[in-house]
Amino acid sequence: MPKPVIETVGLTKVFRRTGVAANRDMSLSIQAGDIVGLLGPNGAGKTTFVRMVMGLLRPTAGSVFVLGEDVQRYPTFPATKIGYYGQRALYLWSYKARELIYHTARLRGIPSAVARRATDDLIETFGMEQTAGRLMWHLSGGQARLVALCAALVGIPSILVLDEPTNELDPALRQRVWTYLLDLSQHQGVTILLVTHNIHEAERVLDRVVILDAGEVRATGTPGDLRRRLGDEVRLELKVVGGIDGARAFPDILGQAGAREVRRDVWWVYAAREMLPALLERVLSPESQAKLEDYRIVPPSLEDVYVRISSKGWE
Amino acid sequence: MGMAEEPMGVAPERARQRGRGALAKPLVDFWFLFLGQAFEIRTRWFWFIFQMTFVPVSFLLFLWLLIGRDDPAAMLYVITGNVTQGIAMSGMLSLGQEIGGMKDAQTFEFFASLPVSKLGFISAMLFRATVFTIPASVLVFVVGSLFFDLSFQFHPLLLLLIPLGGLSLSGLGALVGFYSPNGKVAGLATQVLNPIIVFLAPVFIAREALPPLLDTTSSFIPTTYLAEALRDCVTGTVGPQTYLAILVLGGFAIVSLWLVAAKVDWRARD
Repeated sequence: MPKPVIETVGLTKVFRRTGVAANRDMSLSIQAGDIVGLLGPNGAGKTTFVRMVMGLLRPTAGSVFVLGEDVQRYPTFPATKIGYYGQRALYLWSYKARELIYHTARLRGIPSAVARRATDDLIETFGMEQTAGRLMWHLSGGQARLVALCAALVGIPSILVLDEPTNELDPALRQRVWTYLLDLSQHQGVTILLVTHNIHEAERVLDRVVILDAGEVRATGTPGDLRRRLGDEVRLELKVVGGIDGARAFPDILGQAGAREVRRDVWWVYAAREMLPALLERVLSPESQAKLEDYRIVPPSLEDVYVRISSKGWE
Repeated sequence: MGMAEEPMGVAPERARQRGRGALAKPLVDFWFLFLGQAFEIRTRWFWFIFQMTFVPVSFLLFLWLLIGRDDPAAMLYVITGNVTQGIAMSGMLSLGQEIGGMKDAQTFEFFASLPVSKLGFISAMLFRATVFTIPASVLVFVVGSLFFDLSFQFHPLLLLLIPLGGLSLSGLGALVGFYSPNGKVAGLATQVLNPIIVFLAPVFIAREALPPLLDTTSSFIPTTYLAEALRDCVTGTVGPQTYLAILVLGGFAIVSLWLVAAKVDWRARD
């Protein structure tokens, strides 16, 4: 079996000041060419994990190996092999967009001509021709984030670690990013570890998913494996009429454990397929229709797996 | 696979390996890191001009009000002390505050995630800070010569002395910046250190005027040697004592570089 590109063994991080255990005993391995998504609620430890992989944060216990090298021993090694995109915005306001991408390529050791070409290609790919010559100071938040992402992508040897790469990007750009990452993985063999909340969009590119919660790995597998673990369940979405308390209006459906109001007036509840006819009869009754604006039946998705793990834990 | 066929946006290992040898990468890093630092002037030009002009000149004129024009020797110390302070601050204050500020703005992590050396990073920041002190230093000497009838000679040793002066304190600045939890603490720490390296050393006054204890302790402060050598270089009195001072500054610079290389850890602790 080929050596993993990234491997962690019992990786643990406890922040001394707060006593918070951001990562507990995490052991993962990522093979070459895979796109692995780290999912989890806010505060699950995703960013902490990727920062330790990058050698930017010292672990409390455990080991990280990048291409077989122990990052604890050689903390600067990941920087020589990995293109990193951090979670927070990059406040390098004095750079022009093109300069930031080109300079990053040069600092990665890419010769001048190749760096220029790579910069131009990325600018063209993501439609940044109008903004390439502007100062980062003058760009919108989303535009600046895109430039920072391109700086991470330019001149990447074989590994990318991207922390929420589509944050603040418009839907069209997000699609372009996902397509680009998929192309890198499938045609260039680039290994990608990414953190994302955009599960719905990321699902189509991920080879494997790791779901974290409270610093621990709760589930891991391909998106299909994880969806199948939901078994025969489907998701019923109900949008109640504004101002109505859904749990009171539908105590037999929305008043049960497992039902969640995911946003105002919109409820999700998971049910076995054999329960569907009875549920639909209830939902379609005239009495219910008066209290509902909309309803949907949705086959299980990665988002559902994520929500289920976050809400009740994985058995 | 030729250059034209190399994949878009993906670093060709071959191109990197083709490289230009071990020396080229550090020089390229230094240049691009320096440029990135110098770009700051695009968005903070007013602040730079203010610092380069108003601050040193107003300080100078304020001291002139206290001392008057009748004591050119004292004014010489004031002028060279001003320049010494500027050079020392470029090494320490600038580094400490800049690194602390970069940590606040998350830009430090960006550079730490790139294959650049700590020494290259520090050197580029220091070089930028030193270059940006030159206009203020020139202005101080011009004002000094115009207002106080002082004449200055500029020995070529200044070209070595100025960067050495900044480098001698760069280790301290880097430690402050890297180990401070945020920019505010870094700024506070450098403000606390500033009077120690400037006023507990014979920067604005002759060494003979210091109390015995401070005379002894000033031997361990780099600005002592920087100020002495600077005075020699601008008054045409370069001699063995100047070279000795520069040698000692070189020793401090080596210690600084060692501190950065051996003691500074890019990784966050907590």
